Amino acid sequence: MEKTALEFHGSEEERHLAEEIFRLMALQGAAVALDTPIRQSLRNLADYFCRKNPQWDQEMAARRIEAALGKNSHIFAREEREGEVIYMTTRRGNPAMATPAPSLPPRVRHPAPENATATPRRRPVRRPPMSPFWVRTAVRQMEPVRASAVSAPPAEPTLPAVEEVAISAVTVREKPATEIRLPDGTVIDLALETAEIFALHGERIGRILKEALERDFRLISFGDQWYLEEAVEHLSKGRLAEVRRYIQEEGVPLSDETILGDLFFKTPRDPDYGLWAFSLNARLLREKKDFEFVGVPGANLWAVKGLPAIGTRLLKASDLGQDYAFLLEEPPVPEPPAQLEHFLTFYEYRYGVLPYDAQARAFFPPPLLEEQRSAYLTFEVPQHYEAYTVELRYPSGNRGGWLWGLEELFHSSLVPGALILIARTERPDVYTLQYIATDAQERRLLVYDERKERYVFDEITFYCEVEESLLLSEERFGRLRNSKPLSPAQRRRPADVVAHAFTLIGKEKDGQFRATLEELFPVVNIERPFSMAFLQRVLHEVDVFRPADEEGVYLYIPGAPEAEEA
Amino acid sequence: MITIGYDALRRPEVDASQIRLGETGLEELIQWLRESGQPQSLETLTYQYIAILREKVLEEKER
Repeated sequence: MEKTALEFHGSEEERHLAEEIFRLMALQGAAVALDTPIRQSLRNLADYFCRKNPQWDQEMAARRIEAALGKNSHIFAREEREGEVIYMTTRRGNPAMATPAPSLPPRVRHPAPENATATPRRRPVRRPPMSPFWVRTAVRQMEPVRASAVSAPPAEPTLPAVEEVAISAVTVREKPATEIRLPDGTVIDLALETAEIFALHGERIGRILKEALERDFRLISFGDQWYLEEAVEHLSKGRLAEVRRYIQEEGVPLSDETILGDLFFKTPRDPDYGLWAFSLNARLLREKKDFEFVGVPGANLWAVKGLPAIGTRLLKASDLGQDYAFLLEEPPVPEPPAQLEHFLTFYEYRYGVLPYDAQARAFFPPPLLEEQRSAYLTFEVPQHYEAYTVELRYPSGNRGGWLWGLEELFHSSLVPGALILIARTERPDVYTLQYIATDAQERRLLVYDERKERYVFDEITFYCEVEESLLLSEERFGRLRNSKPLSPAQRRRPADVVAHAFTLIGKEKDGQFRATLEELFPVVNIERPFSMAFLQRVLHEVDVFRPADEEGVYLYIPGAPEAEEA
Repeated sequence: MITIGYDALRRPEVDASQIRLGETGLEELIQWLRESGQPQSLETLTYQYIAILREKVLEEKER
């Protein structure tokens, strides 16, 4: 608190009172110049002292203040305005004047030069004309101020209570807030360290920032990378056509590295390679009619129309997507597996496909781009010194995902029930596929006879480890001989496929079919893909099926009402 | 004549309550991206953006 060096007159009580009033008024005007008048009404002062001294009433307080300040007229000036007594002083402790004298020392008041007879001529200053835009903007900004000024009372504004003034004078400097409150209620404290804020809220801020960057036409992006449009390398239409022709000639999707090396003579050792790679990828991404990104993070591959198709010709991609729709409901696995282990089913073997299930989602790289439809991967089979190009079709809408392009490998080396192992390599788009090789095994296994359009058993020799319960051997599933495939409409309905499997392999008694889960699983997977969880869901949710007394055994009761189809 | 709470009426230039994520500090971030001379990941940009906002608010607080 500022200590006053003023001399107060009167009795001890009057001196104390005058000093306290002076201190309050000095606080009230703490932010103003030393000689600026500070005003306070007698009524406000009396209110303040009444609240401070409960034994005082308004009249007594006013009387005592008048007496005290009257004896200190060298500090306080008194004036009456519209019946109200106002006291004025300054921070220096002078009775305030209506127009304060200049507070600057005389030497800086620019005195006229000695012997000056006329006012000095000043050269008129030519101001640059102001743009009408800024004039209009300034006028618009002034309007609310003007409106509030008009609505204010013309007379002197009501003075705040002394206590309030004192408080506002003490807390005159408002501390700026450091917390941001997001619409969802999240509070971000910017007083924390940057790394801490990033760890706590980086994902949320990043999401908001990404939306803002997407709206900004000055920026260009590819995947997770962002840069300024003006700073990227320019690629003409001619160069893009050259890239398109090159990919078509090669007949396979090409990486940005290959394109840059072969057509632009840029290698990763070049200092501007990163910028070139970004420029090429961002530019090709815009040419959606001609180019399609089929890479994964770390391996940017580009395909064009007219490349040889990957995958089976026996089923359309849309049918496969529908067949695998149930995979969309699989919950994610807690940890990505180090390698993918999978037992082939008849359906997968026949069409050369693998499910993009929860395990595969955790194992294979996610799409780099939001609208990315597929990724091309290379599966090396070290046991054969061969490599296969596999297309990973990502789930879209209500269609599930899958991998295809393995028909030749499966038909040449494996059988349904075989265990395959897929492992990562150093390259993000290259994987190894292995199976456990065994001595020759000769079995009569189920195959589909395209000519007869029926399932038959045939003598097959294979050299891989299999899961016996998944092997569709004649000794176990002999009743499948000469069975016909289901119609496309039937195979689309999982419950129909399961019911059909019951009729093929189940033990019939009193019009009911009885089969174990272990028997049903390989058979339902002949016509369409099922995971074990999906099969169990169908068995529990559709009313024609019900669990038997024995664990793992289910009944099919034909004709029972189907309350709900899976 | 006095003006009560003059300083209090002077709003800080960047008070955290005035920050609009995705708008405030975006120009500085773009300038930083330009000066970096190469494409940057969203993660790097987010970190830098937080640093820019934090600097704006803390500078104001210290002023």
